[in-house]
Amino acid sequence: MCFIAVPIPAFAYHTETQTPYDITNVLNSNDGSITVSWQESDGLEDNQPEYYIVYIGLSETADDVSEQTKFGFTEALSWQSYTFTAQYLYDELAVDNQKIYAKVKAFHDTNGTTSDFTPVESIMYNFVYTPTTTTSSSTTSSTTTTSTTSTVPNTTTTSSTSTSSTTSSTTTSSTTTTTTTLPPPPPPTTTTTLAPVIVKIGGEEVEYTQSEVDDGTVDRDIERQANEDKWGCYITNIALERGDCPAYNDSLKQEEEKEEVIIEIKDEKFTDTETELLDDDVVVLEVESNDEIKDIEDELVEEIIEEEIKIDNKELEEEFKFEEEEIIIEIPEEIIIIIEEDVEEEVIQDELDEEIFTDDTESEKEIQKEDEVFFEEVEITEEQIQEEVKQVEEKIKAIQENNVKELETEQVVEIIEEVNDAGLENLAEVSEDVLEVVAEVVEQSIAKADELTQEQQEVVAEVLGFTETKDVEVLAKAVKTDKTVAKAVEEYVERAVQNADVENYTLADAQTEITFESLVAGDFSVIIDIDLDAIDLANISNDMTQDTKEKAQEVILPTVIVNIVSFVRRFN
Amino acid sequence: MIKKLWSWCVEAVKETLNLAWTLSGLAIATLTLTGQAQVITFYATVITLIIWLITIGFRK
Repeated sequence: MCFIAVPIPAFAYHTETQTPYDITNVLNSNDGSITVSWQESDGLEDNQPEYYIVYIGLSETADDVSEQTKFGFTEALSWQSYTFTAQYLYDELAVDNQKIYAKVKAFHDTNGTTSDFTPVESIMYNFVYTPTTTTSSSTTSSTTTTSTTSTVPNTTTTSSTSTSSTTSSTTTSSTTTTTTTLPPPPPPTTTTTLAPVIVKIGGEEVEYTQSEVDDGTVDRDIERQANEDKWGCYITNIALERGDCPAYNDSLKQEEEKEEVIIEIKDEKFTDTETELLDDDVVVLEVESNDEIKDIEDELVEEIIEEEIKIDNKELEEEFKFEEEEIIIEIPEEIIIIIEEDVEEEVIQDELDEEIFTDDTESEKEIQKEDEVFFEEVEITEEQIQEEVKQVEEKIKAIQENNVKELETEQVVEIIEEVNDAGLENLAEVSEDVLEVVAEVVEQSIAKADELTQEQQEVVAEVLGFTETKDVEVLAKAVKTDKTVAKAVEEYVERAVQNADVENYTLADAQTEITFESLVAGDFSVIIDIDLDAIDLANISNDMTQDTKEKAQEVILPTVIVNIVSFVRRFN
Repeated sequence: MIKKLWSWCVEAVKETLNLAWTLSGLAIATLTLTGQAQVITFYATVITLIIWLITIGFRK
């Protein structure tokens, strides 16, 4: 609540790399350079900038060219700037009385984080820059200036000063920014005399240095002159293609429109209206008029598309109709096959019989025969159960001569598997001797629970009515400590057979029965005769199987609900 | 003294009858459970019932 009620600035600033503040874009009218400035973050961030990238361009996205600074974060809220020289702007952007847009982004490569872009700032670049044509080999490069920040208490600043208030209301600090353009590099002491290159551009001879020839300045000037002659725009081909010359743009639009008209007329010839037009001389004359073509072309195209769609639809409908007929013929054969293989779909198949073979009595008869086969299969299943029971008896008789305790684990599990196949509830008709042996085998399987594999445990769990395999291990431990559980395991098979008509009879039911019988018989030891010191309240239900827990829930929950209801009624 | 004891016995029977449904549920739960849970449920039920009956006068 406190965090919500009282905002904490430190948490608000918790970002990876902050976006620079207050970007400005200023044109230096003296030398034609532009200076992009921004304020550094307050330093309350995870990764302070290692460098910045300044993006400039002639569109609002400001992404034509970019330059990386050699400096990163220096001091909180200090001002940084990056200057693009006129030469750079002339070469890279071919800017010509246009707006230059700029934006900045901070980077921290070590941890791989970046800030967001600053807002885009623009400046109208109306500086007329004339490339240097002197013989001396001077180079103009972009310079980087870092401002100095000084805190002056209680001072009023001039227009180039930004004032910021601190969190304390008693002191006010002002940040004064001084941008100093570094002086141009000193001229070389030894002047290399290079032979000037004279190039004729637009009928005039212009002298260039060798470096200007090498860096492509001459080529660009030739392009500019050619474009000025042709389009009236003194710009390079790159700028021309970018759309900086209105005359060139207009001519492109006109050409595109011409191409569109030609294509549309060709399209009309391909349509099926050609025969109609040929029959009507008056219409043909109207079509030949360009103005009329432009007026009706949209309507014609729409009509043609609609007609084509209709034709396609008709074709598709015909195709589908044909396929549907095929399916109707093929379905009965497939259904017969499915009936033979899948017993559970009997009802669905009967419905299909009625729907599909309304007029086909022969097919109906065939399928009804298949249904009869299905019912015979159900009878076979019952026979199979009896066979399984017989198999259990045979297996038991085979081992009756031996001591059950001497049986190997695999043999025990095999017998239980047979019992599961037959179903414990189906052993009612089996002799008592066989049941006794089965009970001993089940008891033996619990005694050997530690030796059982996961699959074998699943088999034992199934015979005891458990849904979870882990219950077998829990039961094996409980048998050693709890007399009731041990007795339940011993008598489970017999009780399960007796309760064959009870749905989902499990070992837990046998346990409850035995406890109740013991109490009725006056034997309270089943409850009392337990070592209280051994009780671990933290693991109170660990010695119970999941099966027992579920049965207990079924009893305790209604008890609690009845108790609550009785209390409510009493108070009312 | 005998009268007091007699009146308490009558009250105890009444209270026990009031708790008949609860006690039968707890008895069934005791029968259903096994192991430690069974023992604890049994003892908790018996001890709580005894306390409940002893404190009849106090609760009134």
